[in-house]
Amino acid sequence: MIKVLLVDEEPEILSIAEIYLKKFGNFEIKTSLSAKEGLELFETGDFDAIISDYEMPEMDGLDFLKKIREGNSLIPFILFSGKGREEIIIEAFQSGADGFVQKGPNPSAIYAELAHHVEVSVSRRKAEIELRTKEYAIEHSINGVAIADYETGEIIYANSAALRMFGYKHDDLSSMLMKDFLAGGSHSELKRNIMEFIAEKDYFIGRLLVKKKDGTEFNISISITTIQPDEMITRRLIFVSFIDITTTVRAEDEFLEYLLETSRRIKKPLSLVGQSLGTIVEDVIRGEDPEAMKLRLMVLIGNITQIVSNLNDLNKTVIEAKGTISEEEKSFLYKK
Amino acid sequence: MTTLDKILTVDDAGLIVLAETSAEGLQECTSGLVRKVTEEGYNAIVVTTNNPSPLLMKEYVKSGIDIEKVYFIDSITRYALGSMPKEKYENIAFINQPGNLTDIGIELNKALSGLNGNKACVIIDSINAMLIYVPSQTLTKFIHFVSNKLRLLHHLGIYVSVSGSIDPLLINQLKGFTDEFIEI
Repeated sequence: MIKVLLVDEEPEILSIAEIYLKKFGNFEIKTSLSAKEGLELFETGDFDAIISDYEMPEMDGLDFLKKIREGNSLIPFILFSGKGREEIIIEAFQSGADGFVQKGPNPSAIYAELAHHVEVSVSRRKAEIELRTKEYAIEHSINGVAIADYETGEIIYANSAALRMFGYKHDDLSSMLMKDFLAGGSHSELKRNIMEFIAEKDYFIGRLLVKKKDGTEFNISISITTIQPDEMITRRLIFVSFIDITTTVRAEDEFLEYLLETSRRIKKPLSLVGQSLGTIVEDVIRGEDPEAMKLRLMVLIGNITQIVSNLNDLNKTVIEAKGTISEEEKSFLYKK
Repeated sequence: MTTLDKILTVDDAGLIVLAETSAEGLQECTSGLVRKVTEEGYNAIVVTTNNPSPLLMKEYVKSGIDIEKVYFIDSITRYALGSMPKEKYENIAFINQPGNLTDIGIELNKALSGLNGNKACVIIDSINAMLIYVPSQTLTKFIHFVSNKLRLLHHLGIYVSVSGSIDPLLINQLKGFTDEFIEI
């Protein structure tokens, strides 16, 4: 159902138009006898399109159109006029009209044309709004988004987030290739692994080390899909979406380092202390020098004391990083 | 893989060796190394962080090692006892605790400068024991420092570790600082 505001100074035209439009399309029509009243209705109502006569007292159709557009409304506006002068038509389109239909002697054909104009304009405007919404979403996405040529890797589009992440401006991108953003040895890796994967599966999800314009390297999590050619897009494209995961990668590296350090400074030493205790037990059985055994045991006590301290130090790192442990619990955990 | 015998035949030492042994064989590994290097004419400087040097010394004497050619930098005895040992030793430098790498470095410099032109082999016993007292990053810096020092002075360095007890990441770092890797 298309909600139409129909404005004309002549009540008969409004009645005829309402009957014919409803005959030719799925319309809900609200009528008004003046542009001034039409503006009030428009401001308070919810319409999908406006059909307005040109010649009206107080405010003509063009001024009505201009008032609508001044309010930043993109509502489809069809001028429906008895006058078909060239300058009126030109000014109407220059002022943002979506269509012009001239009144005439054959109402059936004219209202069919008017209904068609309204339907096409509403559908086009909806498509434009949808497209603009998608464009806005992509352009303002926190994720970096880029589109590149599948064959050459040439960058065709990059959104603001992508440019910001890599430190480039739109003008810098002309003739840049996807490989230009790769850091270290991952260039050949991209060609070999990623492109082969995409050729087979049509997508790729993974991590890459990339570089900014100033050469700074950082990690991204990336997803790549292909866009097949159709009647509008004549070549195969790559759609790339990514986020900066440098902080995550750093945290993962730190966590791995923590695990390794725990093994190096707690787990393995404890295992060696256990083995040393076993040796001392054997020395006891053999009746070795008690003073020597005492000294060895004291070394092991020293080792164990230090291992507990290592455990505390490593725990402290985790506790401080987590930041959710109460002071009371911290005090207990830090106690030697 | 090379062997200790082959390494000891190189005249102009300056070689750094990472030696892996089993946990059970750790004690005997060090004394075996000391015996071998002293028999080959090296002065042995044993940096011990786990075995008290007075005990090691007795053991070496008992097994016939020429103790005149052995010098200890001992960072564990004083720490374990809580004070200096009562006996006086000419060939032992006691450090207050194994994590005090600065003092170990100072004593190592002193020992190397007092060699009067004799060739030396610095044995670190062991990487595993040192890891109890110092974080791995600090340890690798220290090992790097010692390795460079020994190379410059053309002395031999042998770092002992228990096989399988150090993760591949760290062991590869250590291998990066060393010239040879042997299993004992």
